[in-house]
Amino acid sequence: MGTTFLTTIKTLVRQRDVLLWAIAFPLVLSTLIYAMLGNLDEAYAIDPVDLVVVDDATYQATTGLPEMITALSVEGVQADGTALLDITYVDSDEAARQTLADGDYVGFITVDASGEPAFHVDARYASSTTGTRASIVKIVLDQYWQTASLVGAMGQADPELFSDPALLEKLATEVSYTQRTSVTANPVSDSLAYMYSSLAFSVVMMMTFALAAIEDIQANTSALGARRSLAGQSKIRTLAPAIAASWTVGFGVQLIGYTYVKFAFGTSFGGKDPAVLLTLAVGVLAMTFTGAFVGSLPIASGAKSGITATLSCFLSLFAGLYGTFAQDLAESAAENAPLFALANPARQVTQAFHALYYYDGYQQFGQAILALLALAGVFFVLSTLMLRRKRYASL
Amino acid sequence: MPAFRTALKLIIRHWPNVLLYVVGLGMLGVFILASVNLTSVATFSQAKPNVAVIDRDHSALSEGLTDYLATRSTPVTLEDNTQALQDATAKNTTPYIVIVPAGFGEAFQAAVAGSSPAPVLDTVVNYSAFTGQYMDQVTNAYLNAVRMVLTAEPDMPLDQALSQAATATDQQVPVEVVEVEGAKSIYYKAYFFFRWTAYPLTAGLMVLVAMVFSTFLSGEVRRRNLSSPLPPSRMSSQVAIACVTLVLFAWLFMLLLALIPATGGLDLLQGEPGRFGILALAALIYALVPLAIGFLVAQTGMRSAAQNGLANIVSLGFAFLSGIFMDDLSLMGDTVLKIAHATPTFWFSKATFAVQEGAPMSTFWAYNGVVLLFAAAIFAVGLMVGRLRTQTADAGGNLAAAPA
Repeated sequence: MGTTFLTTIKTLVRQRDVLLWAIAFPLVLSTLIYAMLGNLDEAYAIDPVDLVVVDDATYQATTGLPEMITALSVEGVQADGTALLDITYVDSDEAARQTLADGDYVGFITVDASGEPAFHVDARYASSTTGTRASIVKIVLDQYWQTASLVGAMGQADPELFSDPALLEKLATEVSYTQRTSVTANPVSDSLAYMYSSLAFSVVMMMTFALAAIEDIQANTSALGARRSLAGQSKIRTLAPAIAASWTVGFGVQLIGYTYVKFAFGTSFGGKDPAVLLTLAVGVLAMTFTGAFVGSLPIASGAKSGITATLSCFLSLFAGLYGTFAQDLAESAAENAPLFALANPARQVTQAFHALYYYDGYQQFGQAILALLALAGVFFVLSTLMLRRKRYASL
Repeated sequence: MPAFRTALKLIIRHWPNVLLYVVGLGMLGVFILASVNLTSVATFSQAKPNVAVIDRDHSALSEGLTDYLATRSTPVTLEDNTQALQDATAKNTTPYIVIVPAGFGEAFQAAVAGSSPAPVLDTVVNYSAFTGQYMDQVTNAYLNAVRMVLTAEPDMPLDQALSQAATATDQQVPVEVVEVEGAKSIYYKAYFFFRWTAYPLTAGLMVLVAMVFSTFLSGEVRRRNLSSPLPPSRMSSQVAIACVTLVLFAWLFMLLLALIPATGGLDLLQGEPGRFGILALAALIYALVPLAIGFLVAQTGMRSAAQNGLANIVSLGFAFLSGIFMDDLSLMGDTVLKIAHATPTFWFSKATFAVQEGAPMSTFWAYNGVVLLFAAAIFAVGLMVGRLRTQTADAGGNLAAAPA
């Protein structure tokens, strides 16, 4: 069995096309994702909202609004502050509409004769799904108008109010009552979700090695398989080292991938490396048995390769690999179809990485590992049943 | 046309690849879009992110704040323990969590009276700084309104002050929705789906076309075909026509998927049939690229498993680089954008954006011209590689005939 184990390893690593597919693809994919999405957290940071302001006489005559807009804009923000708005000034409503059509602005602001501002939002940003930036502008204007109305009402109720400058200053000085805190073990990061998904994708692809190993054992898939079937060895003594070798090569490939994303891109796993290695080991085990099952199916070899490739893509969709919509779909599927999420190895590997990064304890991590072990058990049984006894071209 | 029929039989015999790549990957796009809901753009709808308030104070002020935030967000109930808060943050189900510390109400009133500094609320936000900034504005708007009322009327009962502040913060400025020509977000999903078709078309057509040509080019098969009465040029033409038939089938299937309600394509066809037609044409032009790549791959003599692997690497790589999955090229860095210019999928993506944003037709045709150039160049490289390979031993060329 030892000889079979070592020979299978040598066979697998000498299949350049399989190795290329199994090693190059995850490295290329994670590099692409890092290059594209590695700065996602910076992209989601405050980027000033592009806004047009109709700077006419009524706007200039409005008490406090021009000053407030300037203070929030790129031109007026303090050195250590963050600009919320990037203002383009025009002199008329028509010019504002033309500017909106020519560029990518959330909308424009006008002020009527009574001093009430109005927000004219670009239809592209009008929905609550795409309009968080527009909502920020709206809430800023609402806050200004609410304050102005409140002060106006106070003045009407008590005209002597405006004779006290100290009181007026107290009223006008806005206070910030919020401060950021973190409840997770590490800071929240959106780009990490994609790095974890890409690593999960490569774990799922480790089916490929078991598929190749099983094809070399079955009598009806290769001449080598036919010769090995005649050997004086029990099926279990042939299968077990082949499966073990597939797992060993798959785990080795995953070590390369993990080392690459950790050190080349600085991807954080919460500093829990032994647990990460355990995740990879169990994940590869589950996919090795899955690959063995696929390899035992009575279909053409090319179709099996297609199955592994497409299965990897499909399962990774529900692990959130394909962008923000896919992330939302993955969460929605997990909420509405929890059994499917449990049975999805890509999802569980991703969840294990998330758990290590965000949580202090290991409860969520343990749940993901158990799900992967259960999957490994199911496909172990299925592949054993498929490979136990075979009859080919029987008379 | 015997070679044409044989090639079609080959494709049909490899129906799992058709099912997995063309149908399966195409359906992935449908699944993704089925979960996307776009609201009408006739009226402005304020963002209402999921927000949870952990009230450890239970004062009139904290309850007033909770009620106010519920009108400006989608309230979520969370248990007040570390596990629940970590779950909500890690799973991104609640992008904004407000934690009201015990004694906040009293400290707030004392601060207004000037006897102590202003207390603060702890806020937990997800990766989207905009959501955090937006909800901070909402939270501070309410609390500052209460502060102003109590500052002007220090003797006013707190309940009355909260009521006055709630009335004041109910006021909103008027909003007008301005339609910008050529940027109708209602068809956003349809544009996304047409861009998505590049992924299944690239993967599926690459694998199947490479399989067909590889079969006809494999050593012994090629030698037997060379001795047949059918001239090689006619045989190659018939195989090519079979592959073009496959391209048309895949393209038509993508159009069929585009008409599924979830993708929004039917709305686009009914609302802007011209744009739908142009997008369909762009997809057909793009489909020539994987046809050419499949031809090139077949000329290299790559094995089936490697062809599958390469198809997935190329299709996913092109798709990511062209921004198909993110649908927002501004999230990509400048370096990545420069690299993306060297991929045909990027130019197909640009062509669809040109339609989406109402750019002139000359721009659309220019981008499609670049896509056609890519297809022609890849095909030319395939011809050259094929020519070189016919001289190798595998193909039974001169090297095979040379004495050992």
